[in-house]
Amino acid sequence: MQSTNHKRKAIVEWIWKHLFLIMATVSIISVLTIGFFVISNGVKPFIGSSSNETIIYLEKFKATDQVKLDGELITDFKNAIGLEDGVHTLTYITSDGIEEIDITVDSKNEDPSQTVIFSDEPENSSLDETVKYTSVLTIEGKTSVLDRKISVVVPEPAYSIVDFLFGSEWKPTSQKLYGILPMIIGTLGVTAGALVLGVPIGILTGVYIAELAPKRVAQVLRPAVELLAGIPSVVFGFFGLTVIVPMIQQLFGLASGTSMLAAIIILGVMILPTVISMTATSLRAVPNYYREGSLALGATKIQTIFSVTMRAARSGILTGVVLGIGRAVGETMAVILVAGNSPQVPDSILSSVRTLTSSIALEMSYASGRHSEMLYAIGIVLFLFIVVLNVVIMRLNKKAGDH
Amino acid sequence: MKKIMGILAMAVLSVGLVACGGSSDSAEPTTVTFSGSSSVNILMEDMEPAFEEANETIDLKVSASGSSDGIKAAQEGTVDFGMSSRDLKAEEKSGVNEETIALDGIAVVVNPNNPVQDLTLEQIASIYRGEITNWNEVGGEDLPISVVARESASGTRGAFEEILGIKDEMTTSATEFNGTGGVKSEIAQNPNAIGYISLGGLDDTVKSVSVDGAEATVEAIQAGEYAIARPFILIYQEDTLTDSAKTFLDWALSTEGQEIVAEAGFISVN
Repeated sequence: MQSTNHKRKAIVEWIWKHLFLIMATVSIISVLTIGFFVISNGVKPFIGSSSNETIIYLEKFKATDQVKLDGELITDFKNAIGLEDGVHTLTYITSDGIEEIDITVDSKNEDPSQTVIFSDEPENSSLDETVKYTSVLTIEGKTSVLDRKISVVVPEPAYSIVDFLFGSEWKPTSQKLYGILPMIIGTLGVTAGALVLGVPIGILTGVYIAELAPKRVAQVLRPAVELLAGIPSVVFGFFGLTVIVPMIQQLFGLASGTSMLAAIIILGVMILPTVISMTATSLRAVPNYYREGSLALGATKIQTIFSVTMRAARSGILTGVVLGIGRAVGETMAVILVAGNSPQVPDSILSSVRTLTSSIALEMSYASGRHSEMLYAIGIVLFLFIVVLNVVIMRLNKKAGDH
Repeated sequence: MKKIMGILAMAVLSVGLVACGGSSDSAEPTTVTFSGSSSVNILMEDMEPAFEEANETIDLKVSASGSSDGIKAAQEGTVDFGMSSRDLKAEEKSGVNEETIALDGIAVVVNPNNPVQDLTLEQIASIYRGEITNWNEVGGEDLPISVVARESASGTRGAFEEILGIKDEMTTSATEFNGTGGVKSEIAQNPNAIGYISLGGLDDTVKSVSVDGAEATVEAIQAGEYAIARPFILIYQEDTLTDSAKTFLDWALSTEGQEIVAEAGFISVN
């Protein structure tokens, strides 16, 4: 009897041990997979060009048109044709006559406007180079539907990380400029503002709940704060858009109330629950004889709170603040609604700003090619932000633990 | 307990029976899949029931994600049709066919309390470039202009900027929102704002201004008077197009299909 009991215990032990192991492996694998996915996409724009070769694409040419590229007859107008660097001759015979164009491709040229040169523009045609790295020669037909188009697309060269991090222009669609400095400043500014607003309120509220509030009041306040943490962020954002934004607009006589200030106010409120509950919890963990000792020495209640209890709970309070920073940096939905999302370096607290996370959320569904890879690169920047934050938490805890 | 089990058993049985009944129907329905622009999806929602009524054996499955996504899906062959509300970029055109099934107008909208009724194309372009910053420069009150735009790479924004000739020239202080809804709610509450939305998304919360004297209506766009219009495009691969997909394409371009386009508030291509 005893041996079977023993056996059963051993089996249960074995199952649990391996269950722990499997679960730990699953969580590590999922984190690594996401990290690998974001990083592998995000580093692409900085290590190589956007595609391997220059392509030429002929559009709206008819089967009866005879088109020759370097003397070879093209029969398939549906697929793009790769072009090597050098001079290419394009000859086409349509019902309107014969035309011959020399196309010089120099994809390695530093100056994007010099990468593709059409020797001459035939009659009734126009060259469009508004989209960088793309040249489109449109040959007019009888109506705009019959326009024939010759497009040459040069691969975008590797983008410099310095231009990415410190470039102040985000114009991804046609100018192909991917500077995220405005977003980095926006994120830092909004986060710092939210801390200035939210941390004092949060810490003082936490102290009140843990140390000063009558039991009944604390019993109501604590769940209320936890409820605040459970409100979906989009609700905060909607409140901001319909109440805070018009208020700011009228107060300051602005063209639009969507601004850094609006985002700061909303985020300041959103980090409150984290700061309050961390403060209250760590204060409650301070042993009572600390307080008693301080009071016995003649300190007042407030003196005790500031010089003894809060000092003892410092590590927990700081962790709460750092977690609040994490929330402010990562918050997306609420910020999109109230911040205005202009990719500009803000010149005042009333300017419309865009944060790193808003950029990803706003543009991901429509972005393609390099543009979407750049959004992954923003993800890496955010990831680094959070890594730095975690290192700071660890340092703070260690320091506070030493005392 | 027994009762519950009994009810459960009944439920399972009846579901099984219904399933059998379904499969014993005539020919297996074939599926035609769509993915892409959320604007084109609005039209597809109206086309779907009408088409399925006429062709009972063909089932349409539409998912909206964004123009770029739809184009990519069509290129990779994961869907029968990609939907796009902007012209394809040169590098996206390779290997696929396109068919314009409708035109959509882009209405320039302001707050209902804004007295401005009419703007010229040049004025709109100047406002979006940040050269005109006060409503009194275009015949309104002495109030600052708040420029509202869609996020970059949105189909609506691409078409709007292309028609005005202001590609990537927009003032960086313009506020950006994702989706027609975001733009509309900002304009509805901000008396200084100007923005643009799809013609199908117009309602009382915002006021559309006429451009160069022409009202933003289906008739004006058909007559070529109202300049701001963009295509709704289906992207497909001709070689691998199934018969059912071909049936849909023919139907969409037929008089019957184009009637649905007009009923949905868009502009037919005929």
